[in-house]
Amino acid sequence: MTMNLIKKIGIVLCLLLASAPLFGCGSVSGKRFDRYGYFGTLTVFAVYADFSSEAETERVGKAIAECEAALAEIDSAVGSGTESDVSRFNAANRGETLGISRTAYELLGIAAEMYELTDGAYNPAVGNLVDLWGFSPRFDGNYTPTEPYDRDVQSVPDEEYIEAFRTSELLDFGAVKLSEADGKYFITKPDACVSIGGKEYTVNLNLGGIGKGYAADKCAEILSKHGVTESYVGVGQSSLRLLNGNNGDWKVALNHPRGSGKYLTVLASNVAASTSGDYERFFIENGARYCHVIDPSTGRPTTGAAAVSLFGGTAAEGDALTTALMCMSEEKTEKFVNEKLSDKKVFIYNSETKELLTNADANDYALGDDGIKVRDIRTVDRKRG
Amino acid sequence: MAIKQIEQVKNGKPFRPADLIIYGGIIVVVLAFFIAFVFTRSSPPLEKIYADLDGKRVLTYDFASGALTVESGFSERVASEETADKLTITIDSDGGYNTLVIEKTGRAYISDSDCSFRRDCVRTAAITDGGGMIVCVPHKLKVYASDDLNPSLG
Repeated sequence: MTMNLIKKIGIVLCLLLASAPLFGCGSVSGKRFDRYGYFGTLTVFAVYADFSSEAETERVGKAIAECEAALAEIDSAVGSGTESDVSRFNAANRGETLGISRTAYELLGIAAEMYELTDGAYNPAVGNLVDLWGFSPRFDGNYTPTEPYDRDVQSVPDEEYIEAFRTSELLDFGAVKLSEADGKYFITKPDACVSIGGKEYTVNLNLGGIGKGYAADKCAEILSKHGVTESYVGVGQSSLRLLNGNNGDWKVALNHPRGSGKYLTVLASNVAASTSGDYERFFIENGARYCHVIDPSTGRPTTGAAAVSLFGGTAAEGDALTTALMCMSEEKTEKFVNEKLSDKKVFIYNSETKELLTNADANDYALGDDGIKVRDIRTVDRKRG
Repeated sequence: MAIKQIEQVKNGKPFRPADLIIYGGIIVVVLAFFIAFVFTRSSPPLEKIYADLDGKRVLTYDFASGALTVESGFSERVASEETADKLTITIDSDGGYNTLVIEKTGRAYISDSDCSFRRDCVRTAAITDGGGMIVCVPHKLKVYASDDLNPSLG
């Protein structure tokens, strides 16, 4: 009799275990999806909450509204608008000191840290080169040629401009001075200047690499402050801040750099995620691909990894680090990941070899393309399990 | 049978070897269900295509029924041509137009646009499964295949 009872209990427990994931234990009712246009792209907010409760609906609505205000403030500080702090810096004379917002000051401080950490592989001072290759914001809308190097169609620019804009003085982000006095923030433009084509060019910043991640970080802080727990914020297709998933981890789909659909699904929650790649903004000339990520050491678009994704840290840091990893050789990448990023999960896809280089455990992700070979780049002492 | 069970109790053996095999099998099935649920549910087949302009739903195409639904208020902005194997849909936004092609076999892409110098949306790979998405930033157009909330990057 006792044995039968034990068996029955065992069977019932097994059936409950089998059915638990199908019923979504712990999920809350209702989801909300909001989209806003800032930074020349779409920002999405996904929130799961009990929207049958008026108080909950109001709380989430207040949090989203505060996030939108933060997005507008960050966009006006470091976006592509002519009055943004970054645009005013780019238009300033060499040696000039400008007052900037606390937002721009904070973001430039993060940029400086990442510039140091990556030994200049992430360099916000590539603004002149980004514009030369046709990837700056002025090419996003109705484009009117204004610079002597502008072309009718996006194409490889003149070599003399590439060489002029990759001179170490114009790329010396370390020479950009930030200062604070009496609660006010300032930036001083370096004296560096290059003359070419009858025009003078000074240090030009492009914070596209981390501005979106910084915005995602700020919005995640606001959501958490308002008690929103099951949510994520995505700014463009490059920066994510994940809070709790609705039913376990979020399944983050990484789009295939050379095909359609996704090539990788990563299970993650309560973490930032960033991606840089050569497949959404690029042009092809004579069979060669030229993407929007400019390697400061060559003055040309990167030619290594097709996509780099990173989970961990803040989204602003992640945006800078994925950009830097796109610019590194495979050998340097492995060394950098093991020495500096061992607390983060990194996924690097090489489209030539169809190889995925990663330091993540196999149970953290699932491949969406059977043709991809995985190579664990952790050094032996860092491999877990 | 009853005598054997009494013997089992007397010998203090809660399970016979055959029982353990059955329970082991059930655990394997549970794990198989779990793995299938976690890793396959996030890549649904292409069932529908949605298009939003500035965050507002403009149209939905259902591959099963072949029905194209244009939301009220957008009929003047959407023009479509249908052939045996595809729909060619022109979507007018405040900034210009995008031509969306939906192949009835399960593929969708932007074939033309006057959005910008680079036309990133035209270069974006076709949507072929439930995780796909194409964004035209200048026209604030988003074409996507899944209405679930899982995030994507890249």
